[in-house]
Amino acid sequence: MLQSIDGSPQTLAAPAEYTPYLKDGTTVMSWLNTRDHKRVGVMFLVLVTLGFFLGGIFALAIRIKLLQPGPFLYDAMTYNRLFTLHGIVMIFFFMIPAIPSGFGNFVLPLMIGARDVAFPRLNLASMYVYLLGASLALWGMIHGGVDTGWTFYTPYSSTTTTNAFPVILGLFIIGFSSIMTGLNFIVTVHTLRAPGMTWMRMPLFVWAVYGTSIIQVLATPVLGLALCVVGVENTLHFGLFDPTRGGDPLLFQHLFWFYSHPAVYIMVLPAMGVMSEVICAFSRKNAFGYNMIAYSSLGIAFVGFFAWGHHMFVTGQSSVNAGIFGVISMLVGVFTAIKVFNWVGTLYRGSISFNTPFLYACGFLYFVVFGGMTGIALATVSLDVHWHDTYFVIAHFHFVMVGAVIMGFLAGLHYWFPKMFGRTYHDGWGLVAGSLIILGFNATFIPQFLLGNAGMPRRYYEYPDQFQALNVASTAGATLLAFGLLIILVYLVVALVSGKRCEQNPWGSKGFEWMTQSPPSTHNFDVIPTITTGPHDYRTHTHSAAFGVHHV
Amino acid sequence: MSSAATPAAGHDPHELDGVPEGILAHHYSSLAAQNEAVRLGMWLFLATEILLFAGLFAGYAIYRFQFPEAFAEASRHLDLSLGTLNTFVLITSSFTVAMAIHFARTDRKNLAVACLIFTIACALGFLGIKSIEYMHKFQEGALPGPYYAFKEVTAPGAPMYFTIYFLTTGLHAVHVIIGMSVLIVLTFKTANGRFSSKYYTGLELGGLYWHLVDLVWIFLFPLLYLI
Amino acid sequence: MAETYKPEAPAHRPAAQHDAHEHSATPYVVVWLVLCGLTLLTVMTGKQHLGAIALPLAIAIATTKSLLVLLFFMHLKEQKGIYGMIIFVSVLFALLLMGMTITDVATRFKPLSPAGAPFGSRVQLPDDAEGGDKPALEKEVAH
Repeated sequence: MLQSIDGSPQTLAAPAEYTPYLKDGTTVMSWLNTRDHKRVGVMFLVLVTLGFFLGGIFALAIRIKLLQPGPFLYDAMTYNRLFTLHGIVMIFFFMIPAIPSGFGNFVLPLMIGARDVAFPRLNLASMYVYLLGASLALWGMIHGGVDTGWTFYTPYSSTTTTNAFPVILGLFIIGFSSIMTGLNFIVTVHTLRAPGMTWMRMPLFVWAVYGTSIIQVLATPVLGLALCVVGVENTLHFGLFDPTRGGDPLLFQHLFWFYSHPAVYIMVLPAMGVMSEVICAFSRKNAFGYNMIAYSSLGIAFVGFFAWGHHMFVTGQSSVNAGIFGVISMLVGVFTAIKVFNWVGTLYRGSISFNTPFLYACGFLYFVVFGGMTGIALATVSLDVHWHDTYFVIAHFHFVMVGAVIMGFLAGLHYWFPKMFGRTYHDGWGLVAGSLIILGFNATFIPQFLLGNAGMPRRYYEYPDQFQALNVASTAGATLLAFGLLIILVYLVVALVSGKRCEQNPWGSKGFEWMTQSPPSTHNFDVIPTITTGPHDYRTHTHSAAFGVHHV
Repeated sequence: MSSAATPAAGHDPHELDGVPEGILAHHYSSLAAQNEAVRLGMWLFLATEILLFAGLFAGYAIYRFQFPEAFAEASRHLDLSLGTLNTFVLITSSFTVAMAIHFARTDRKNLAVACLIFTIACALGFLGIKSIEYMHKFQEGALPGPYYAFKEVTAPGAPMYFTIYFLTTGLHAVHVIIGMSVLIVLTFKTANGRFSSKYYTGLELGGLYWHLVDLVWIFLFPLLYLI
Repeated sequence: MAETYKPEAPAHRPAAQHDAHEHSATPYVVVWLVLCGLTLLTVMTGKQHLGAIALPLAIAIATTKSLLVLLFFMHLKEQKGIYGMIIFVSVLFALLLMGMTITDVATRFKPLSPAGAPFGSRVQLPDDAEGGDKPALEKEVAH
């Protein structure tokens, strides 16, 4: 039975017959040729999960080698390839597309009361473009790989004899997928909102994805150009970045980081959007400071573009630039802080249901605060001189990237799993796996802060003996982390196959996407609703005992 | 998922008169809403193209700043008359594509097709003139980096000018080819009567892309030829 | 039981698809002629090699030409403001990229910039027997 989105209590009547999107066409072709944003989202989720596990395998390979300070398992050239591929796969195959193209695709049209995204065929095309780029890059990885680091710094990337070109070309193509997704979402939000949904009634996840899409559209072309030119340099050797011909290697770094710094906000911002949704749902409270969270999403998107030079403090940039970028980098932290305070304000005096998504939300808050603070520390030029290219930087960005973004991804996965598949998973196992992941994560990366501060450089195959104990601790943590992730894989697959079927809104959430069936029908809504209230509106109390959520 | 031209609930039933079958997608409330969405999408795509060229302009800027004499000297050895001719060709092609849309939306199909064909001819002309210029460069040895053999310009940093020259005009030429292909497809569609006063959005979007190609050249021309 | 859906009236300006025969071609012709004139102007002033004013003048003329194309050929003048806003923001960010890159090179410690580097950027021609390691901006180092 369709519910109108005006806060009226939900009925527990037996659901009327309808065809869920999963059953609307069961042939392979009906999936490969779908216009349905939900199917595209599910396919993206499968692909990014595969990418995640591939990147994870590279990570474990690195960590296992680092158990020993000297040569061990494989040689230094292989090590260089491994950390390069770990970075490339994790960032471009997983982190950039995961939440926007996975969950955004599925949930955003539902949240704004639309039947699909603005350009459904472009959406499907973005998935095929992703697949093409990823295949090409994978081919390059198998046939020799690349050893420049994921940052492709010149002049080494112009002169390396490894098989850089297919990987560079593959990433160039994947960039188009990102642009297509961002473009699609911006147009969707502008033109397909249901009647009555003003901008300030949009759910906060939509605001976050909107901000992300702006970054994707504006920043990715510059990466495209940077990769294009590196590809030309690698094959034709024009000498654009060659100092002996009057070139400037730093030009590449400017072009590269102009994208890659906003790129980290492409990764983090959607995770923050998931946080807003999960925190409101599991504390059963309206968002504290909705306006500020919404504007901060745009603020991060905008100001994030002005900070890229902090990656180049010690590579030869002028001190004038270093000063400017250092200050602006700190400003970006303000918007994150605003969001964190607002989330805590939402939790305060809320009615907390400590389910798996909420555990991940807690993890997120911890990781984004500590990771973010180390980021502010790194933005201080004088401190960065000591920490640049050490494990301190690695620990910082893994705290925010893996810590925050993975928490966001897993929170979204566990929150929207019943929405997407109409089944529930075993929440107890979810809490166990989540705890292992949070613990394992801390065990992996806190030693790396200490290592970096003590001076251990990154991307080094061998290290001094006195660093071994911390490295061993870090690898142990990584193993725990991997174990936790594998547990998730197991119980979610079990849930997919034989999980208990759930009702339309098992969490009792007031998110708009929960007001239609779980899983939704292909056309999302029988009738496009008219929106009369704001989002995450818990002021009308609905008793949630019937839905089986535990109260703390 | 219906793709027939039957208007969805709530549409003005006359809205889709004269519009080709299957234009309106099911998830849009009206054709006007869809037109605006598609236009917004195209403008966003143009924004990505602007940012794409921005990186090369940044490269140009720093190398011109570093090697002002080499850039000035090398620029003087470009064929200014061919470059100026190319500029006129592109501006005129922009004019004719705008006229093509004007004729399409005032139901004068044949004039629209004629203008589009003229635009494509201009595009080919641009590419032809560019090829002549490139051939001159190859003959003179005015080539990027390690291939540089242009004895007449030896100020420090001269090869950098030609690296930038070939990268920017090369990327621009790629976009001319893409734009021309789009226009060729649109010419066939216009000839088949797809566009009219009721619906000309597809043509409008192709025109927007072509104007962007012109816009990039409007800046490239003085920066490369008139230092 | 189901609510009838009333679509929002889409907000478009009057100059849409109803004025099939009122739409005039004159603005296009005028703009085209102005663009040609501005092209001649930029070529003529460019050939004068006016020194420090040459670059700002060329950029100003190019900007004027592009505004004409944007407003009239691309119809920004009669369409919704959001399209213009998109172009404005993207140009702003393009300028940001160019600006900070130039600032970097302009304010750097001279030997770390291409022209001041010890490698030099002396042109090496194929039949040139000499090597060459002079910095391009020898005089620059003094100040």
